[in-house]
Amino acid sequence: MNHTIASAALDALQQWGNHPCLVELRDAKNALPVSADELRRRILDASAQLSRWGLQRGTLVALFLENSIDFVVILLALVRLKAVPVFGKLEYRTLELNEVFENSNPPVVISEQHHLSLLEPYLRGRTVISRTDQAVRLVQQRAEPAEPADLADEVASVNYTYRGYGYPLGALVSHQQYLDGARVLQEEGLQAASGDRMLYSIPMSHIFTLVGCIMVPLLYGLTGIIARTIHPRVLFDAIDELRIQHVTAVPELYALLRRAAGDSTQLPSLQAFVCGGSVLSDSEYHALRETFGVEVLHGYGLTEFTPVSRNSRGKARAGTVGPVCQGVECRIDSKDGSAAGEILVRTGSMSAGYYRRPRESRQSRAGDWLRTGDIGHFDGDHLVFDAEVKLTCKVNGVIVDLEEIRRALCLDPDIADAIVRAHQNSVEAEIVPARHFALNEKISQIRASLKQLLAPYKVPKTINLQR
Amino acid sequence: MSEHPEGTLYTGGLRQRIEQTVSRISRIAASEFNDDVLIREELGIDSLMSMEILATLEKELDLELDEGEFASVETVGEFFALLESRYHDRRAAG
Repeated sequence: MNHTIASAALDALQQWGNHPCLVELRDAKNALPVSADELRRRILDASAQLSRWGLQRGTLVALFLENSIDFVVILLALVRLKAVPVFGKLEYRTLELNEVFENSNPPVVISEQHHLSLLEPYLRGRTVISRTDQAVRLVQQRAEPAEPADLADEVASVNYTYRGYGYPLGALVSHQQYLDGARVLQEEGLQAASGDRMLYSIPMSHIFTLVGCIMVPLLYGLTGIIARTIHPRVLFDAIDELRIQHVTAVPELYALLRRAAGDSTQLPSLQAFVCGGSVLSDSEYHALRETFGVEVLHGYGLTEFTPVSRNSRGKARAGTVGPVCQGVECRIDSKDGSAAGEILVRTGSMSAGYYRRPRESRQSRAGDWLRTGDIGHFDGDHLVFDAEVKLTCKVNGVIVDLEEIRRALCLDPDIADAIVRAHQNSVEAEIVPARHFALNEKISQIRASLKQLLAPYKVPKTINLQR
Repeated sequence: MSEHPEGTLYTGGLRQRIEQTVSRISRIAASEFNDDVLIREELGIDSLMSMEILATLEKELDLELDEGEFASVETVGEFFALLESRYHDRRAAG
């Protein structure tokens, strides 16, 4: 292994000097910039401090952090120590947290201070570090140093995803995947100029953000503008005032921006929207181009490997996720000879499988090909995403496991079974009652229970009795 | 119907306008907007949709709304009360 993501980023930062490399938009009128020199110094300082707190090579560290400059500092400081970040989502609740903590058993947790009360049942016996906008502090320290995890040095992080099993799987993501992913997104896709500015507000814990929004700007001299909001007025103001050229987001956010844009919304600095996470329809592609006058670069990838394909500047096409990236092999597994089938991918830097899940890791492979669980076909050299074959869907670009929601519903003793379906960017459920009850009296209790068990975006929009 | 900042007629009119906007964006009938209904859990309004509602209402009512304030709002009644309050504050400030 030549480079870790930390060594590659630190080397790149050394070339920039005083150039602003990250700007954190704390609110509409409060932007906090940091130069490359300053970011590099903060990563090295944080690395030394985390080492003094007992973190070392192979230490698994669960992260529950909001979008911030600190996120980047902590991520790269951990990786520099060869500790292994385990990305948690702030939306996770009991079922997801049980699985993440049981499966990865991280000896260290780094979390937003305000989130610690929700994590409290999982903190005993672990080193706990809290973060606020003012400081990163040691809250409690394990009595004994942690044993290193049984992971190869090539593994940069554990990123939880779903394949329809009803519980999250910790994909082992390699340094090479981050570096290869950033290279193809920039060199084959966006082709941004050094000094360009990229705005993003999707959660930094997503693989798409980690590769496309953190690694691409750091390695290629772009200034990353980190937003904590998706408020269109705030984002439009930021694009205008900071003269932002590129935005990276999911199709649902672009659709929101398009609907919020008025005749007076003039954003002449904008050049490209980088788009991923879920399907971008033909009509939305054209509407975005017409409204903002930008190129729309839609791509496709998974937590296990991203990107698989991407559209390129000057060659983007509506309705496709672009040609397959260099270094990635992709074929369609079509048993009946039709053009559409499961998308299989193979590359040298693909995830080695799922942490402590040998059965699921085996089932995700067909020889040395990764079964994506997605259906697609080729239109010329462009890949077209058709549907998901696995029991998952996307809600606002975030993967949702329908079986996990069914299991959560069935924890209610009054529910014998449930059918959970994806429906228009949301989830709907039909329940089979174990005893007679009036749904309109029971529904609040079901929703309140689901809210405790699952991330809010997984709670079904409609819940009906099975007909 | 003339506008009257202190009067119920005015408040009723404002609420009706807000209801129409929320209904159009969420595709939920305005008849479901009872004060004690939970916005996220019962109406299923997610973060993207709520942001679209805020952005649209800002334009229609000529306001700047702080999304942080709305994060703590749970029911339809609280949502309308906060909007009406901000609207009246804005008018009072000229």
